[in-house]
Amino acid sequence: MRRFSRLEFGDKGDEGAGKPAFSGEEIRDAEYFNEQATRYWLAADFEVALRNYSRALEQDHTFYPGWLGQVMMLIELNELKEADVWADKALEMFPEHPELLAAKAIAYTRDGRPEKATAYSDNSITKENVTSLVWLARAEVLLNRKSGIAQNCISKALSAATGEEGPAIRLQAGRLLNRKGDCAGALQYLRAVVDELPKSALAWYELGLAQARLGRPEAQMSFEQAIKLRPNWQSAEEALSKFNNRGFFSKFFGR
Amino acid sequence: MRCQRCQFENVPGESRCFKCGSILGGQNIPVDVHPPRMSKWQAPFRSTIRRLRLWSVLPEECIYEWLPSWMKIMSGNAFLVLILSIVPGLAHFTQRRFRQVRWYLVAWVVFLLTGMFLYGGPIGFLLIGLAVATHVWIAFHAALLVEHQDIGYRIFDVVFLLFLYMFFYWGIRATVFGDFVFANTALRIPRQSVQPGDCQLARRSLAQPRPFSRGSLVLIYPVNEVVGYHNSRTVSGELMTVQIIGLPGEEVQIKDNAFVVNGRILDANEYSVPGWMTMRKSVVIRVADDSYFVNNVYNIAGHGALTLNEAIIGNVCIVGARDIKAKAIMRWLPLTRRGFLRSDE
Repeated sequence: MRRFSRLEFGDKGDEGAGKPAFSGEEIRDAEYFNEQATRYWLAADFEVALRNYSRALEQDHTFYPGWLGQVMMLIELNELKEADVWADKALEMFPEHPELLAAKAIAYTRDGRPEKATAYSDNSITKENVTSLVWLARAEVLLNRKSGIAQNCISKALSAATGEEGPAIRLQAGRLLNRKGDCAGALQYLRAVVDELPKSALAWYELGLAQARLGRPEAQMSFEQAIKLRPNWQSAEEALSKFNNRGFFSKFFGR
Repeated sequence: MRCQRCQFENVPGESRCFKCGSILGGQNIPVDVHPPRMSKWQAPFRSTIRRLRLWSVLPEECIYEWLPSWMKIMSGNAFLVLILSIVPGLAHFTQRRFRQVRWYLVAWVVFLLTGMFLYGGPIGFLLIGLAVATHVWIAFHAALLVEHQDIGYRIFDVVFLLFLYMFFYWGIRATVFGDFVFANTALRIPRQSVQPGDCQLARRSLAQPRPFSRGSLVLIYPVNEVVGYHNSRTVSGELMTVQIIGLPGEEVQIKDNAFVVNGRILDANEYSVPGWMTMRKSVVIRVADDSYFVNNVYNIAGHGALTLNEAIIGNVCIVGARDIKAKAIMRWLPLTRRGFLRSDE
């Protein structure tokens, strides 16, 4: 079971892809909460996503995507020390799991500890069954060290992504490039992602950020779309307001 | 039992995968699945530390890794831990008890700094005392709390440490801050915002050999004069702040509630005459070459009706240059009037 193996695509998502065929009350098992968590992650509501991952683990504490999801949500919430602690706990359950090691590498690199991040990333790619997340973590570590081969790692991550995982990995790749300031690079992934995941507020928001940094007027529409999908989202509203109120020189130079 | 991770088929009843070690399903082991969370107040601190790390101001590794190995070995011995605890929190740090380090150190620093800020008054002394007590508790908690379970031992430990650290603090004060001294005054000097009962901060090193100018506030041990059948002159054991009026070789006259020095009347706002010096008859006092005329409130006692004359005033107001112990530099307490004293005339 992979973390993004049950993503919802477009309108199909409303019908509940992969849900039981029978009618009546849904079975609220670990899979159900994992699905909910992924949905909230795509809506950039990391706090609720984290809660859902916890609930998934309450149902089944051996449910691996729940542990990885918790660690990743803690990273998204910038609680890096806690993410590291929790990844250690998850590693007790799933020793030497490459994705958990990669998650630790991400936490360390964002915490300004490149040496440790590199060590964990090195360790993670030596394991069997290296997944897209491991390559994305590698890319982030390398981008942080301003290495030119980070793009290769992103390519490997995309090629390692299985069918349903693809959009989520592209979204992550776009977010990574966005964070590192390669907005043009991010744009090419994020444009594809919003076609594949049109109901993801996170994807629209990230696309808007990339467009805004490049001075593209489409940014306004992207932010508005994100707010439409997730009303009263403060970050998107602030980004939209900042974009609309940018100064003369920013408008003139397209930045 | 198939492993979710590596798909290895394990023997039923196993709790972990034989191949990859992952936990297997179907086990009723209680596991905490709720991750630890960061408090909101920690976010700005973490962010700052992260930035400092990114700018290479802070090391990537915890400072604990930088500690020499002998220091880590010391943390296993109670006596050596007490020695380490001379630096508050160091022993806890070597034992990787970072939470204790954080809270204890914050408490100690707050008590110490506030105590130093208010030093000279009762609250200041209380806070310094609390800083010492916190220091004692830090050492006690690091070294002896676990080893000595008996209440008698514990009380003895705390009392012993209290004396040890009080001696230590006294030593620090005497060696590092020995140049600074505090004293009260009984004078009222409107232009310097000095009121009776105020506390001044003074420096000993400014007392000698520099000659003083008129108006300087200096610290002396005041004189107690008993006039009559048992003439006696004793020096008080407590430093007091006094003001220099007459310089060596000058003539000081007290006339019409004002000091007159070499015929020049001094401003009463800056050189006020204490009440006890107010006399009907004008007196003239000549200051010796190695002395100063200072004004203060003195203890003068006598039998019967006491008549102040040049001799008595000279006895208590003429101070040898060597008897000046320090020079006041700041109004220290009360806080509302804290500030540097004006430069000399």
